Amino acid sequence: MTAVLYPTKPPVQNNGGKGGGGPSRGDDPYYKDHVKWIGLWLFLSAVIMLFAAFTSAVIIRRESGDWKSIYFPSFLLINTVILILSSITFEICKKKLKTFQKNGYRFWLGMTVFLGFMFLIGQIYAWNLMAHHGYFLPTNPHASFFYLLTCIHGVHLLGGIIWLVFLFLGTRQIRDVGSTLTSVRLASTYWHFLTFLWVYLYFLLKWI
Amino acid sequence: METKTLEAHHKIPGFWRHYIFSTNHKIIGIQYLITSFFVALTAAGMAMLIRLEIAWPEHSWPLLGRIFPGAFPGGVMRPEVYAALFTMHGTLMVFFFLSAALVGGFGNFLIPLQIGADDMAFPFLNMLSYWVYLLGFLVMISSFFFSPGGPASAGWTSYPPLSAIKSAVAGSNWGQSFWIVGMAFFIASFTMGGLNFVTTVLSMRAKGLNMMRLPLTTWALFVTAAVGIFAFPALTAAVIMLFLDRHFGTSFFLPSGLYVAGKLLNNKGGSPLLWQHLFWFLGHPEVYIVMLPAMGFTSDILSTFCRKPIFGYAAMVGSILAIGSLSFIVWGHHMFVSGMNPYLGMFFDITTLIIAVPSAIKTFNWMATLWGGKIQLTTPMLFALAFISLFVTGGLSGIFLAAAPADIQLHDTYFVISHFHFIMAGASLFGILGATNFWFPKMFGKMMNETLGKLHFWITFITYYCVFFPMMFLGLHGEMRRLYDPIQYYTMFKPLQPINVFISINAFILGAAQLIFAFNFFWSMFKGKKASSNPWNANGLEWTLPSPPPYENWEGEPPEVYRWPYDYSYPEAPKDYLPQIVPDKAIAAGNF
Amino acid sequence: MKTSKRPLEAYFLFLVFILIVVLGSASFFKKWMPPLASNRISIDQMMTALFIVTGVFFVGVQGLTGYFIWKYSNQNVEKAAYVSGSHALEITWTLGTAVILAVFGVWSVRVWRKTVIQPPPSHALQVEVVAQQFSWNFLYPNQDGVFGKLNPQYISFLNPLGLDPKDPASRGDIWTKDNLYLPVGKPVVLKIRSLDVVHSFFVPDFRVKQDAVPGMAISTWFIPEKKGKYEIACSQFCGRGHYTMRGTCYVVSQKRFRKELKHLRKEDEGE
Repeated sequence: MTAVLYPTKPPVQNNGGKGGGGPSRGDDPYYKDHVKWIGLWLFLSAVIMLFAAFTSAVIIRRESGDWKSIYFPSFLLINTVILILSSITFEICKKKLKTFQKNGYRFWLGMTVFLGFMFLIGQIYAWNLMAHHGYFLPTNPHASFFYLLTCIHGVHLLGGIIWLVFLFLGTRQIRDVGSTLTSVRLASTYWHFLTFLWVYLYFLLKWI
Repeated sequence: METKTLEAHHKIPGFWRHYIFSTNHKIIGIQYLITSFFVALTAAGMAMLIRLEIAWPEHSWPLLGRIFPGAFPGGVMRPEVYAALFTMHGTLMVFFFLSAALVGGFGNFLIPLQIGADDMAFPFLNMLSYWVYLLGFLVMISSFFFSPGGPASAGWTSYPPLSAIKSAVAGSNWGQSFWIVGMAFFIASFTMGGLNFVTTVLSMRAKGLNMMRLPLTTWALFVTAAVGIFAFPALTAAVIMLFLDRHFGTSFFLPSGLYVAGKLLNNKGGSPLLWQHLFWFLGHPEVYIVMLPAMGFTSDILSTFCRKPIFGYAAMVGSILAIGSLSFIVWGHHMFVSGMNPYLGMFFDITTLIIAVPSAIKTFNWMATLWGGKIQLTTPMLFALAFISLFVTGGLSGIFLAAAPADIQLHDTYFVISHFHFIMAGASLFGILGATNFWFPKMFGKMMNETLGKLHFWITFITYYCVFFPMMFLGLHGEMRRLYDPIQYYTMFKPLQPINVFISINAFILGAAQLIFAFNFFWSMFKGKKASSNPWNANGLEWTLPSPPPYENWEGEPPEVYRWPYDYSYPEAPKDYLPQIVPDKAIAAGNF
Repeated sequence: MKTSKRPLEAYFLFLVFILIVVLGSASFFKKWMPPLASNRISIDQMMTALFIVTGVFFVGVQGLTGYFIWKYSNQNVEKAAYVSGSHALEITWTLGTAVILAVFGVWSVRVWRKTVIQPPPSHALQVEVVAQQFSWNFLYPNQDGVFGKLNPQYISFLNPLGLDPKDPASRGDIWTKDNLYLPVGKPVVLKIRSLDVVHSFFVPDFRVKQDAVPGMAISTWFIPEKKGKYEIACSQFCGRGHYTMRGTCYVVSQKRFRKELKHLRKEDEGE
């Protein structure tokens, strides 16, 4: 009876003398990259969850009667274009690195940093425009969310710029293009993510 | 061999980089564990004062008046102090003790050892995680000394408007800001740790160690870390908005027409319920963050000391995953009577009952693991067995709270306090205590004293029931939580006061018994019996290393894994255990 | 000679588990909930069923765990059984638990519909409840049954709830503090608000609890069915004086209720 009820085989088959199954990191030269990519995507999912929480707050907060749409600086459209441009320059920079054009790589990386800075300055200018029109942080809920979301996005972008500056400082002694390329790929994924995030926030703040 | 040890020796950095600003996962784990024990003692001390006040409300204790003249004028506790104490007790216990000890402490120490890695994926991030955690704790605790108005006192849930308006309660003056900053540090620390754990488990397992061969401890810690990464951002968003509401005049959580302390506020249109949704979106997964690792420890300890494979491994893994994912859609059961749309209440009622199924599966599997075993009643095993008992008691009382209509009566009463002190606080605490006794030899190379360990267990187990079981009856009768004086105004609670006195006396014994553990821990660290590499005859990879393991675990020569970690009493094996590194060919030879 | 070699702790642990079972189940024979004084009997019925079912599981699981500990701590056995699972058993207890929980899912949703979602009868008495730190205010409408508008702008010492003086409906509304009078047997709708922080209106005898959330007016209804004096509690921590925020509910006959209201109206007008 018990024999029927309790099979004596483990649910996980032991495959005897063979190893295998798990990752074999000893043989894999890209194993370190693998680790970095997982780390980056986990971080990005935490950021996605953060903005998902803010989005749900916007949606719930809109339901209360006092939601009034605010003056929305049209200047932000220019700023959006700047950020998208910076993503494009980053792609060019990546291409230059792949084809071993060190100077081109440095130029376009610098360009990306520059455009990123321009975007941040543009955001601060947009805040000034808002303030000029009498919309401060506590003025109304739409304005509160505007300042809050642009600020949190800006902080993440500032982090991205610092990352790029470190990459730029490291360009002097590139010995191994492979490992530099990985760092640049990681950074560009983060950067494109922030561009997408901004476009999303732009629509969220303008049309919702 | 000689040269290898020499080389390994060279890798060990100097004292500061080794013991203080260490990037080594074992040191960080021990740092986390000891810090969190210190936090636990602090928060337990607060609980003692809380129980003192509840059992003998507004009684004058001249000694306390002399020690804390500000908090106990004339020896009587001020109501503000009572509020601050239960707020900080909850915050410190849930986040800075349970989460930190389970995830930061054991997670750091065990994950690389159990998967055959030399360290975590991001050692520097790991070090940062500990120091940011410590900073968060220091900010929290400093609010007792530096914050005008005292520490936060709106409850660990910090519901606005109480937590958002400075004049609403003394602790909302500056204490709440300390709380927000402390929590922000904690969230940052937990996210860094979580990133590390998930990455490490996914990419650094030893050869042959596929996911379905992982010990359940690692499985549980892995899912816990992932849950933390997805759940904590909601609280991040919430505390940022609360901070803006408090200091910059925004109205995220503050509605129009608030009239507090004789003044009309000019906030407009905010929603207090929004905070509750965001808070519990984290808050409920957080409960499982402290529950799941303890479940994992218990599974491993039970299997080891039953000398028997864990029953239903696949179902155990499945239920860990099910609990982890379902925990994201049950948060509303904290809000049945909050004024949330009642149709949502129906949804959360059903989802909460569904999450009871994987929990029941785990319980039955543990019991079936006992069945037919050869049980060794060591101290860790005693804690694991008590874990099952507490988990069952807490779980069954949880069904009452999941059923929305019953929750109408029981919400915010002592029934809730009893429930979560059994399942989330108690079961996790027993998980931590069991795991400490179990892995202590691996951490310090010494055995903990069994006599002291058993004395500690028996007092803790029995008084734990005496403290928290009677609370169910208080709750059924309707006695609310967080009452500074339950009998001065409410005549209906007067007949229940003897129960409160009984609870408090037991609570003092329970609290005092923890000093036995603290003594045992530090005494054994230096004076304990020397531990062999595998004192419990266990199968996991960590037990193939010397105790304590060398600085870089396997020193670049990772082990190869041939089986799951639960091959106890394997029929063909000469001994009743079979480490994961033994290939089938070597079984007959018995050379392990 | 086959003597069982069992450590003393095994007996002791078994004893403690049995003690937990005995004390745990014995204590449920006493009625711990205050006797029901409203129409919400469906909650009590469901809770009784929950007590029985969870009680059976409690006794079964704790008792069996204790028994297993005692039985299998015999160290004379050569080796433990090498068993790692049983599909039949696992499917049985998964489905069994699921079915029981499904029953309670359906049951609790039905009770929830009946007590919370179902709208009150149209002839129900309307009372506004306004919570503030640290007291309960109750507002009865004047004879036309319409409440005056509440606007915190108008709050003053004489007008603690901020009744709009320009609103004709507010004339004749009756305000009482901390004492709530209800006629027995008549459905009552409480429209619960708060002036400052989150409070919670709780009467254990009625099985009624509803948070008072500033910025919202949340209705809950029930029928008080027994005359008597009941304590109203605030069950959500609301600040320094949370423990003092007690009100009293008097459930009285229809006649006495009308008399009390008349008396209160005179008092209000006297001010």
